[in-house]
Amino acid sequence: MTPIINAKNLRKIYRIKRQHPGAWNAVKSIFFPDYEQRVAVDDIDFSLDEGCLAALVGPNGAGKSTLIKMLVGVLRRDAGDLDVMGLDPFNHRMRYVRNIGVVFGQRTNLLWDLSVQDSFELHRAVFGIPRRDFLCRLDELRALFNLDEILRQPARTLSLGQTMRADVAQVLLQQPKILFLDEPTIGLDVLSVKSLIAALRKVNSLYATTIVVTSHDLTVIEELCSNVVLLDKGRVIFDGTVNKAVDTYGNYRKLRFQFTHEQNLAMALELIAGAMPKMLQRIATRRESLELSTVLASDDVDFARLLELAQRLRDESGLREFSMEKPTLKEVILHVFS
Amino acid sequence: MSIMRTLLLVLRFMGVHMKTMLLYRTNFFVGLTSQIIYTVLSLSFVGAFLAGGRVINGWDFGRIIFLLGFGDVAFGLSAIFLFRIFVGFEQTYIIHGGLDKLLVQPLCILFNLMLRNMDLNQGAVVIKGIVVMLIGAQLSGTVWTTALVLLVAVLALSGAMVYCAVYVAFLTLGFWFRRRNSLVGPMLSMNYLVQYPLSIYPTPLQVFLTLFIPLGLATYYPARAFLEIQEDGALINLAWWPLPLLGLCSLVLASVVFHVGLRNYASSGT
Amino acid sequence: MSFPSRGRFLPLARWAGLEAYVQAARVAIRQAVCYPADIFIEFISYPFAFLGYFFFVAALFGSGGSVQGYGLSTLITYFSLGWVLRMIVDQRLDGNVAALVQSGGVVSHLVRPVDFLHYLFAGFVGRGCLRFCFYALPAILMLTTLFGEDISLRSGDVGWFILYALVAFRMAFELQMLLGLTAFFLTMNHQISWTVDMTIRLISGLIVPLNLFPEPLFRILELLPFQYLYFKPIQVFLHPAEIWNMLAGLTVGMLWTLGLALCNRTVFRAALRRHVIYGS
Repeated sequence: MTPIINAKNLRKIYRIKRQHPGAWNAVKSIFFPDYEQRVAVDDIDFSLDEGCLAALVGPNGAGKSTLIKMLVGVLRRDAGDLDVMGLDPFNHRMRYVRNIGVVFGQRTNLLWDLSVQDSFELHRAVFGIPRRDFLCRLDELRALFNLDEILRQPARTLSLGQTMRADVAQVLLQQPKILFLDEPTIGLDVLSVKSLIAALRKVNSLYATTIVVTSHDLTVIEELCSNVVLLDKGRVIFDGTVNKAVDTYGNYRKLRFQFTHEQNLAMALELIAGAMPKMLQRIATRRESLELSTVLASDDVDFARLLELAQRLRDESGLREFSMEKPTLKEVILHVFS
Repeated sequence: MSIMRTLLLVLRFMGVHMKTMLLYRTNFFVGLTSQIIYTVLSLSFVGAFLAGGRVINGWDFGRIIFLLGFGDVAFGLSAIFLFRIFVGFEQTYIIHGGLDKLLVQPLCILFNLMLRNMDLNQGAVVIKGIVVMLIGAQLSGTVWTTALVLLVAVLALSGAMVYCAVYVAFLTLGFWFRRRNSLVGPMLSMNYLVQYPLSIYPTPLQVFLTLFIPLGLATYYPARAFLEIQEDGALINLAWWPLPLLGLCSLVLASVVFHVGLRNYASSGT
Repeated sequence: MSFPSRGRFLPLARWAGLEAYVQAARVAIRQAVCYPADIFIEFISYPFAFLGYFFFVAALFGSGGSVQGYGLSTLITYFSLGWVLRMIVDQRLDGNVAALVQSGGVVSHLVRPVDFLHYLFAGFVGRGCLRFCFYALPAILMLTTLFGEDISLRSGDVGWFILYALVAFRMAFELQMLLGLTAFFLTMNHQISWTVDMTIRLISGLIVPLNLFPEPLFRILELLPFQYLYFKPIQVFLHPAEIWNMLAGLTVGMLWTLGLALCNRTVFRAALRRHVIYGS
């Protein structure tokens, strides 16, 4: 697999004008502005292979937006090398942009008052897509994104879910090699998110389009992506496949004990205190769902003693259900960033 | 509500608005600059054509300038209370339901609206108008006596009342038509028409500006009465004393219409 | 197929590489036409704004008389041409561009393989055509009804007027664009927009023919580009001079416009380099 996106020593620093109170300072700042430096992207390296489904994940202020804007050619980098499909996004913008599709989650590209069809036509003209390719591709996308019902409606009458479908379909018309999605699921209901994810997976498998997504919704990342790049404070903490992420950071197991009556909980806690006191340190009690749960490092899990304890709890303490789970990517990420 | 309490409320709100104005000082200076340029624009036109002592229907350069200034004063006084609401009524109060908040306050709605939306920046328009008016009066050879000062004040107030009435009536449309907002543009453009003596316009337009959208009653008729110009061929020749009465009546009428609209709005449970 | 071929001249445009821009112009027209009420309302505000000037000079010079060679007929024609031009170019593009900049919407334009400035000009042209049909023509009708006998149109001068008017059209676009682009660097709002517009109205000759100003002021204004918006085109129509004279004037106007266009391009590029584009 060849890397399609290559970033080396990428840096971006924002200069923010500092404001001081008072009229004299206000005047002074026009002539002698006082800038504060904020490093948004701090010397990062990473690469993404062609055809992968990648997620850029991180808390607010981690540099996700900055990074994706640099990748898309909208923001100039301050230092380092950035190579996407052999082009420099910012300096070769016109050429570069023909081969990518970008959707910004909170901003639609559709014409507000005219129909989706009209937006697509304009898009076709803007990207210089030959009519035959356009019509052929449109047919495929209509099926994939269920567009028939909304093609003739103006964007202002569409729901958020419909708008997002139309937006993504629109940028796929020029058959881009890479699809960038910045927060595509904000405001979408659960069903819309599910259908969007399904459509994106199909796009990736049908056309081998590389898909790069930033999202706060970790479920999206979990269900869609094969690669994840974890960012924090402008640095890359992790860059690799989802499985590797879970293995690297998901080195713990979640244990859940569910009981039949509330009285059992106290007794269970005593039993656990006697048998495996270390588990007691991080145990959480939920009275409404009658359960005790805890997280253990997987190295600390002694299966024999655990099963023995479970047996005792069942016999003496009304244990109804016991489970041990590997964490999901979402939990891993939350764990990493908490 | 007692007069004392009313006055105190007005002063309190003015205080609040002044504090906000200080925070947005730049806005004030930008506003002042734009007003000055507006006046320069108007004066340039009139000056270019009336320089050299030309006269239109008895109005010479000085008198036209007086009219300009007077119009500014009348508009400015009404704008202090109504400009902001006039421009943004639907947006803030109807679409976003801000009116409901006011309906549960123990104060007359219209009064409440005006207090909350005072735009003291328009005071600059009033001051500018007074200056221009004084210059115009000087050029037309007016000799100021106490009586004349009182007269001009009364006339300016009646002009302001007519302006207020027009804007309040216009506001009321907002209860029924949601997209009234875009009509703000043409309404403000009408101020360009009343910068000049109405006698230059054909009769239908004069009737329109006297009876339908009576901006003429706010600017032209008072100024003409003050300057004691007799125009043959003008629509009507009004003396000064009907004008304050007309101002008061129009304001009362407009308030009534507003409250009718308000009751309609409130009872329809929007 | 549900996409019928649109427009007979699109193939030609495609050949010239201009298809994107032609479509942009058409879309701009169609978007504006979605709100016919707004079109009507905006139209009304123009007569309110300009009728005062007409009736004023009509009352002043109705029975003869003139100022420095400007008699009633000349003045009425002058204002008619000026305001008709204005209705076509007064698109408040500066406000739209500023809003685009401040909301971060510029980003959407940057991820398309079209030139931002050319794209906006295409929209400007589209709307200009719309305004010609729905604003200028009715206004001409109104003015000829009111002042018909005073407007003098001599057929020989139309050609030069149109050439100068085209330059004025482009220059108006560049000026509005420049004002809008300052939103990248300074706060821009409606008030500032209005102030600049008023100033330009005055110094470009829309309100008063520039040679009616005092001599020193006139000399200064002759050094500025704004005269090419209204004064020069109208002068070329009212008082045509020798061909070389008019050609020279046209060239100067084009040079000013080119200069402004280059300025805008530089400003835009600088803005992209230096600035954070807001958004998420």
